[in-house]
Amino acid sequence: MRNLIAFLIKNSSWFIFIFLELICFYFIFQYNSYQRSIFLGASNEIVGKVYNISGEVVSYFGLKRANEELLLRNAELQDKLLNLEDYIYQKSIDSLKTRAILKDSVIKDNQYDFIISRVINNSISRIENYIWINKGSKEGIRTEMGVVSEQGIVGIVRSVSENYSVIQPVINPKTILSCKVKGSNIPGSLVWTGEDYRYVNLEGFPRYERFEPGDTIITSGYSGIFPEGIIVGYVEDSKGQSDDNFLTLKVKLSTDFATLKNVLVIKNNNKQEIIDLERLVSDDK
Amino acid sequence: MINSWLKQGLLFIVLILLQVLVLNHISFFNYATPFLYVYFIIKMPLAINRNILMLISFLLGLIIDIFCNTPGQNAAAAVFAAFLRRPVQLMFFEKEDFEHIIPNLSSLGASFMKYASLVVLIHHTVIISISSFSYINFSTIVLRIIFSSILTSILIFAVEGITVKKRVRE
Repeated sequence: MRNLIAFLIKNSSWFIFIFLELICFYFIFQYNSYQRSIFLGASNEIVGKVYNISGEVVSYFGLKRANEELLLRNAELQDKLLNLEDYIYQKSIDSLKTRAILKDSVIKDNQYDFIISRVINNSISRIENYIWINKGSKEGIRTEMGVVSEQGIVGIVRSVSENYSVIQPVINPKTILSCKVKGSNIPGSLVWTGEDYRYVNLEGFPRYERFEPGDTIITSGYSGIFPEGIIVGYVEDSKGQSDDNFLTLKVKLSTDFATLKNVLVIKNNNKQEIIDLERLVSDDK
Repeated sequence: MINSWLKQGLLFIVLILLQVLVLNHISFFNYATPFLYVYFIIKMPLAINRNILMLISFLLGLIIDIFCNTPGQNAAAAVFAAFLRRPVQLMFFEKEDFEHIIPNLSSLGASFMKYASLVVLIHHTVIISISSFSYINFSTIVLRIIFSSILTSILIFAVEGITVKKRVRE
């Protein structure tokens, strides 16, 4: 205690100095508006900086929690996204249905049904290309059904199992489709040359028929597999055939087989009727 | 002794009046303003208790502040100068010089000039820094400190010169 008092007395001038200066600066900052404004501004800045630093430090403590929350939120959003994607997918198929039906106003309601399906395997680089989809006979898919995508024609169902189907696409030399230039009624047959998965040939196109490069090629609807008016592709080029009365049109396919994701299988409800009728005719012979 | 305290009291009042009524209105080229009241701190007896010196300086500064409407500024500078007066006087004066009760030019000569100039410089540095309170115009502040210190020092030496002459005449 004595030491303390001695210490205080020994350094009394320091304490008095500091005390007096504190009073002075109190006065300065309290009653001088200019100094006060600078003091407040500076102190605000310092306080802000301190809070900033402490906030940065403290934020690390909450990192784990924040991370968990983010993960949860992420999962939630992922879920929402999937739902939305599914929804959009359904809607796009709906609109495709509408488009397909609108294109062919002759088709009666419910003559064609669409079965939505997803491509699970796809080949484009072989000569005989096939596409596997994840719907089968369970969903009502039968052989000889037409398959389209959002972009245009895809192919024909070749074989069906309970849950899966194999499609023989346009880019398979075995596939021959009846197609025509939009606006004309002369059908030609669509064949793939086996060279480039983006191009097919429309053979047997009469020379007298007029067309322009860029014209749309659509299905003719004669086979009963596809409704009339489904887009196949666009005319790119033409060359004469050997017999010179017909042209072969080089057609750029509207469907990009390399990135094919979702397809629609077209179910023709009247197909059996057509087949029965054909059988009647052939029986009569 | 009483006479000397009376003298100091008179100096106190005269310096305050001089500072408030005349010197505060001087501003040479916007740079030099004399703060002559620091002369009182310089002229206090060398052997005076440091704490008492600081309290008196505080009072002096505060009175000037009240007149100038700058509460705390002159007081802070005066207390600061009073606090550092002792180290300064230890720098320039021999121990036996403390026998002189009141420092003056005639008996202490060049060391008094150094001592007075340094106290003035300390005081002016503090007062001008506080009144500017930012180092944005650093060169201006430094120039103001230097010119004001020179001006105040000249005034102090002039006053001292007058008293020296008076003593010589006596």
